[in-house]
This record gives sequence, C-alpha cells and structure tokens, in this order.
Amino acid sequence: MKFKSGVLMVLGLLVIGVLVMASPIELTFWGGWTGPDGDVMRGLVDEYNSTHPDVHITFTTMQWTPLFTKFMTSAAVGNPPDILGMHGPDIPQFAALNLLSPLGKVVENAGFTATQFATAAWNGTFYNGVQYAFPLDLHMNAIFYNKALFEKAGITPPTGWVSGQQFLNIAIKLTLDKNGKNPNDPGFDPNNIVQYGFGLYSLNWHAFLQWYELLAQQGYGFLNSQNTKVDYPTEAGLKAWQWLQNLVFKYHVSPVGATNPLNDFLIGKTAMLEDGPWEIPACQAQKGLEWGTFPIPQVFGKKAVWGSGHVLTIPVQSNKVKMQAAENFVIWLIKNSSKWALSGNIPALNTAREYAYSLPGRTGFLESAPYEVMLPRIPMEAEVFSAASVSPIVVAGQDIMVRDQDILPVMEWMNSQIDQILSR
Amino acid sequence: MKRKNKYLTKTILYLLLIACTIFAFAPVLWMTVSAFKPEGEIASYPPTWIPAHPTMSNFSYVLETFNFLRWTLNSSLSAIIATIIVILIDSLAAFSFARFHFKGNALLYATVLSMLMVPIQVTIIPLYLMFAHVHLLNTITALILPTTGNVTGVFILRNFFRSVPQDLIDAARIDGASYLRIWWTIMLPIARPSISAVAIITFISNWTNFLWPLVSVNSDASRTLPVGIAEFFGGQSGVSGSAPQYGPAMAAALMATLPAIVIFLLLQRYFVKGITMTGIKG
Amino acid sequence: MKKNLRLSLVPYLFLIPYLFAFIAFRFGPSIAGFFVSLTKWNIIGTPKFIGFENYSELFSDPSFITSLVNTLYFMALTVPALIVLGLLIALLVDQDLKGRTATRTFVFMPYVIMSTVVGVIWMWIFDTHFGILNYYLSFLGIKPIAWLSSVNWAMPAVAITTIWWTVGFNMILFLAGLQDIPEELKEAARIDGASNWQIFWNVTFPLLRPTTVVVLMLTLINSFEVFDQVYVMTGGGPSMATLTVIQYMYFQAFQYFRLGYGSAVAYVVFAFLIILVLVERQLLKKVGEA
Repeated sequence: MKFKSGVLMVLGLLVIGVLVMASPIELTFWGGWTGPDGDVMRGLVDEYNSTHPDVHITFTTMQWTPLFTKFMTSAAVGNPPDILGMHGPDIPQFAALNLLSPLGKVVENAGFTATQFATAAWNGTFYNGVQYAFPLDLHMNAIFYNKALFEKAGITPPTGWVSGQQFLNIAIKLTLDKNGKNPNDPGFDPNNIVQYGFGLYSLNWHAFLQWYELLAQQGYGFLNSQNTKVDYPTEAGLKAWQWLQNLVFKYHVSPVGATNPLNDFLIGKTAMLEDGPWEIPACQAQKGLEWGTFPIPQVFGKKAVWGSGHVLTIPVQSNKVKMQAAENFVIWLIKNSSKWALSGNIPALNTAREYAYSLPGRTGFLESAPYEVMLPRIPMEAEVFSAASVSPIVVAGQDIMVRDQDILPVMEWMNSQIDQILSR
Repeated sequence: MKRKNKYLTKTILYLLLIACTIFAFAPVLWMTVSAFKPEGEIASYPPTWIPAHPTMSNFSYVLETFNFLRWTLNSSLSAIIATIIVILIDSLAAFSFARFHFKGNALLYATVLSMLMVPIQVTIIPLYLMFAHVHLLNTITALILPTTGNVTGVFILRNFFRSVPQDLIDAARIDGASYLRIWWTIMLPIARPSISAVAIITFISNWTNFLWPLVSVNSDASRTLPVGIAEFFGGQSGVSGSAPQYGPAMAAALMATLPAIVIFLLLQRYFVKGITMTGIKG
Repeated sequence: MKKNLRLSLVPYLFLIPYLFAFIAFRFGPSIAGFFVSLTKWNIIGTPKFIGFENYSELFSDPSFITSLVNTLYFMALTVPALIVLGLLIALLVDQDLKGRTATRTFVFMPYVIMSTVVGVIWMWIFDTHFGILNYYLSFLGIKPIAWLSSVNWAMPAVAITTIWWTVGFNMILFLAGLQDIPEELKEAARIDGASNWQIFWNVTFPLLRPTTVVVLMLTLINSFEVFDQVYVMTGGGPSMATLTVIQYMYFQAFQYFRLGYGSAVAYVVFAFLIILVLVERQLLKKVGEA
C-alpha cells in the first residue's frame, strides 16, 4: 500500500514536471507600430513563436504616447512588458528611472559590434555610456514625389541630394493656380492654388524636426554639450526657419497649415512630401499613385537630415528566466531584421539593410542614412521634445509656419521656454 | 383652415426630423462607407459616397488579425454588469436621498454631488495602485467596479424620485408594503424612462471608456474594444510614426458601434407615453 | 419603539451599497488625488511633499491660464446650443410622428462612437483640402476654410463636433423628463382649450424644470471637462488655440508624468466648477421666483 502510493506520487510528480517543462514561457512584447508596420512585426513574432515552441510571445501595439503611459504605470507596480520597443531618444527618460536593463554584455555576447550597424542607430542605443537597447532600424525624413505630376511638368526627378535652390525651382514648377500659372508667372493667383509643389508638416512637431535638420545642415545642434541649455547661433536658427516660412508664405509652394499632408500627397494635391519611410506602405496601397523618393534638399553647407531609430529594450524585472528568453528573442529579431525592411523602416544591421535596396522607393532613405542626426538624448525628452500642443517647439512651429509670425521673437520665446523646462 | 394648418405643422415637423437625421447620420454614413472601401480608395477627391470597389477585406482583417470577438465580449460583459449594478444601487440610494428625512442627508448628498465636479482623470492613478494592491488588475472586475461609484445615476434618479407624489408611497405603506417593496414595485417601474436613460448613459460611458481600461488591463484576454481598437489606430498623421490604416479602423469602429445601438434600441422603448403614474396603480 | 428604530435605519441601509462603491471608487481615489496634488511625484518612487507649490506654479503658468480661457470659450459655444437643441430635438421626437424611433436612434448614434473614431471622421470632414465640408461649401462659392488649422476656426470646429457627438445625451435626458410628465395634465389643459404652445409653456416647461436643472448641470460639467474631441482633432493647437484644462492636466500627468502638477489642475477645475454650479443654482432660483 505504502509502496503503491509512493509510486503514484513519483509518477504524479513526473507528470507535473513534464507539463511544467512543456508549457512555454509566456512573454509580452509592446511596441508602437500601429500601422502596416505592425503587421510586419506581427509576422516576425508569429514566425518566432512557430519555430520556438518553448516560448510564446504576445505582441501588443498601441500608439507610442499611450504605450509609454502604460509602461510607466505597469513598471510602477513591477509588472512591465518583457520586451519594449521605443526610439533611441526615448531611452534616457526610462533609463534615468532605472526601468531598463543595461544590455552591453548581452549585445556583446550575441556577437554584435558597432561596425555591423549603421552608426546613428548604434549610437542611439546608449545613454551616459551605457547601452540599453538593441538597434532595430533607422527612419529619417526624405522627399516622396509623385511621378505622374513630375512627368506632366517635364521635370526629371532627382536621384540624390539637390541644393535648396534646385529644389525650390522644382517646387515652383510643380505649383499651379487654377489658370495653370506657376508662382513665378505674372498674374499668379496665390489664393486659388490647385496643386502645390511641396507638402510639409507645419501643425505637428515635425515642423520643429524640419527646422532641426536645417540647423544641423549649418553644423549646429540644438542644446549645449551637457544638454542643460539651448545653444545655437541665432543667425543659424533664423535662416533655417526663414527657409521653411518662405516655402509657405513667400513662394507659395506649400499649403498653409495642412492638417493631413500625407493625404494631400496621396490624392495628388501636393507633388512632393517631406516625410518618413513609415509612410511607404500607405503610398504603395494608394490606387494609381506612382511614387519615388530622394533625399531632402541640402539648403546649407552640410548634408544632414533628421531621423530616429527604433530600438528594442528589456525592462527591469525579477524573473531571470523571462529576461533570458526575452534576450534570445531580441537577438533573433535583430538577426532576422531584413524582413523588417518591408515596414518601410531601414534596418540598422548592415547585412539586413542590403535587402532594403531591392525594395521600391527606398533610394532617398538609403542615400540619407549616413547623414542622419537624432534629437539630443536627455531624460526630459518627453517634455522638451513633446509633440503635445503645449510643447514650445510645437507652438513655435505653428506660429512661424501657420500664422506667419515674426521669427525672432517666436524663436527667443521657444528658447526661453525650453531652458525653463531644462532647469526644472 | 385649421386642418390645413395642422397639415403644415406636420410637414414642418417631418422636415425637421429629416434635417436632424441628416446632420446626425451623415458623418456616421461616411464612417460606414469608408469601412467598405479598400485602403487606397479612402483618400480620394472629390469625396465619394459609394465605394467604387466595395470590399469586406477591412472586416476580415480586423477579425482575423485581432482578438476582436474577445474584446467585444469583454466590453459587453463589463458594460452590462456595471449597468445592472449601477441601476440597483443608484436607485436605492436615490430613493433614500429623495424620500427620507434622516440626519446627514443634505450633507451626504452634497458630498456625493461634489464628486461630479472632480475630473475623473485624477482618480486613475490612485485607483490603479489600489487595484494593483489587491491583485485585481487585468480582470473584468477591474473594468466594472470603478463605474459603480458613479454620481450621475444618483443625481438623475434622486431628482426624479422627488417628483413622485407622496400619496403613492403613503397608500402602499397603509397596505403594509415595506420600503424595499415600495422601491421595487413602485419607484422602479414609475421611473422607467429615467432608469432607462441612466442605463443607456451608464452602458455607453462604460462602452466607450478609454483611459481606465488602458491602464488597468494588460493582457489581450481582458482588453476592451476602445483599447483594442487603439491597437491599430495610426492617429494624427506623422506624429505616431506609423502609416494610417483608416479602413480597418472604420470597420472596427462600425462593428463596435452596433452592439451599443442594439442596447439603445432595446432601452429606448421605455420612452413611450402611457407609463404614467396612473398606469402603475392598476 | 423597536419598529421605529428599524425604520429609522432604512434610509441608511438603502445607502450602504452605493456608498461603499462611491467611497471606494470615487471619493477615496479623489481624496488621494488631492494629496497627490501636494507632492512632486512621477509614479516611480515615492512622492515628495511640497505643500501648495504646484498650485502657486499653476497660476503663474501662462499655458494653464490659456487653457482656462479656452475652456470658458468652448463652454460659451457649446452649452447653450446643447441645451436648446437637446430640448428641441427631444420635443420633436416626443411627437407622435412616424420615424421618430429612427430619428432618436440616429441622433443618439454619434454618442456611441468612441472618441478616436469621432476625431478621425471629423478631421476628414473639416480638412482644408479634401474635406467634405469645404467641398460642399465650394458649391456655394465659399472659399476653402482652414477649419482645424486656423486659430479662429479651430474652436468652433471642435464645438460643432461636440454638439454632433453629445446632443443625443441631452436629448435622452429631456426625453425621459418629458415621459415623466403625466399625460392627464396636458389632456386637462387641452380640454380647457389651451393651444399646443400654451400647453408647452404653461404645463410642459414648468414640469420639465427638474430635468432642465439636471441637464444644465451635467452639460456645464461635461463642457468644462472637455477632453477627448480636442485631444484627437487638434491636440490643442494650433498655437494652443484649443488647449483645454483637462487636456493640459492629461499632458502633465500622463505624458510628462508630473502627477502632482496634473492633480493640482484637477482640483482647480473642481474649485471652478463648484463656483459655477453655485452661481447656476442661485440664478435658477431667481428665475424660478420671478
């Protein structure tokens, strides 16, 4: 009797043990890819799940802003996701609160080195000399253009960098009023424009980013080297805003305060659009639209373009088994990131980036990759570089590019506001 | 002459009815039409009200890629349970506030009412930490309970119960009915229009609630529709960094709207003439 | 004696279930929120008590003052319209007309749609270049209006959306109020030879007073606490022209994680609303006495 029950117990334990071993480790993966890019990532996660039966990853997408709200609240009660996507410049605000695991050793052990990645992407994973993430991709501004409208105007689309003046000439030729006149023609009617040469962002924070890259083209950054104060020559800032404001109010090649520049481009209201590679799937889906890309104009001395990059982080948690499994997944994802190019984003891993060359419309972005400048990496990023309407950089963009206000006072106001936030 | 006048009035009324319908429905119709358009057709100018190539692909994408039915179930379950609880406890409390003289009535009611003026957003983080403390995050319970503390229901029902004639209550008391019985057999039926209004409002506010479900629930299995649908909302172009997908968003929104409309249709039946005070007595 | 004691307990017993929920899920968290407003806290780590510093910072914060002014402007645009339209539509669909259920449903339908979707729909309608509204206005010879991107038009555009979105809510409450009016009273007036207009003015309207008080107060509060439609349509721009108080609170608390500062905004809103509602009560009392 005793023996029997003993055997039963051992058997029972064995069964339970096997069951425990067989049930996969459950991981959660959050990212802000809410468009067609989300589908690409979902496909990669599915592939990993089907080839790795010992792990099951649940992938959740949500716009970045609510996603970070959620990350903060869940981290506060010790229940963060196992893998979290973000942008390079997002790292400091979370790393400063000790919410992200340092990954330098893990990256090294996986056999990754700086030389295997695009420089901007690799550098974007560090904060205060510590590496907190795996670089996934780069995405920067470039010019999307409408092939049919170029053809109609008899213009050959550029394939590489063009000067500001060359770009302006193209944009003027592509701007038409209802009588078919260009802004250069006598009798041009700026109140009845039917087609604009160039769509750009003036209402949201991309206005600031367009300015930021023009500042970089003059060789300047936005903050001082300690990231404690706004620091750039006023003259350079003025020139950069002036270029953007002139496109709208002097040359009339860009519409005033477009609420949806992407759609304007998709329906042919604008012939060119400055935007990021995440819009590639939308362009591909649009019926009857033939499009291509080239780099943004080099208006000033140096080639430079604003960009950012997605990175993959592993939030701090107590479960070491899960962290190990999460690391394995992220390593796999980076190694297989060539498919991520389908999302439009340009893979950070050099070997994966090769694949992007074979995809349509990537020229402008691939040409731009070496010249990408990111925003400064600061813990107060969420507030300093906020996309919210109260953000000084957003208000400045709207004042200058939508309301045609005097640049200097607006710019000085923006500087003082940012200084105030930084000094808090 | 008078007849003609009446005819004219009727015509004007019908015209107004149509005008209201058009103003209210045109945007909804646009949402509906877009849900049946392929993505590349949604952005078009001039706007089209009939899809050139109608498709169900947005619907199948939503249903196949996401746990949409599960979200619908969670939303329905939490909204229905919350509504039932609210109707019961709010009408009891409103009855007490409206018809009883007791110590602290005015003060207590003023306190309750004052909370109507505290923005709900301020409670989110304290609630979240509280639910984390009792390990109720990620549950349907977490989606239901905060709704039950709402003030609007008590406010509306108390106001109505105050207008119920005292004779009705007195008569029932003489017949030996308990107050609980009076609440159940007199107050609730007599207040049917107000109760259905409260039920509709409670259901919808739970149905469309975003911020609390967003922070309180992590797992896909207990996600609600608004949070789920946010999963593929590109939102303001450019800012989010993902290309917009209007088609699936509109298809999902349309599907998310239908159950709530059904609830509305069921409850609005109680807004009919005839349920008057005399009608109850019989 | 014993029976009396039991009876005197009845009102409290009836209140218990609600009060439990109210204290646990509304009152308690709100009070906790007030204590948060006295601290500096980013949810990670422990709150640091700083007294009323957040409040004094608020009143020297120009963005906050802007948001208050904008909110009052928004109320002026929406509250009267929502009350009047809500009542008129309720009266209309209360008539014995064919198709009134359909109209009720259609008018209410927008209220069921989630805010993100409302935002997307109306951004399409209001778009300067491809929007439906400007398209149809162009047939009337009206030049394209930059609804959402001009400082002057953005708030009216948000107000129009709000009226469309929430007028169904007021309609429902008025409709319920109309149902509560005993038919006999109207019947009696009719027999006395009163016209429809007289019946409305002398019977329906006075009896609708309690409902009107409720609707007015809820509309005032909801308008003051406007958030969703602004958040998704304009984000508060351009140049903060549509920034509202609750939106400002949301940015501070949930995007910048300045929870103390955000909570302080909420309690300033509370103070404003209390004053507003007390004024409203006094005014209504005066009107009632007159």
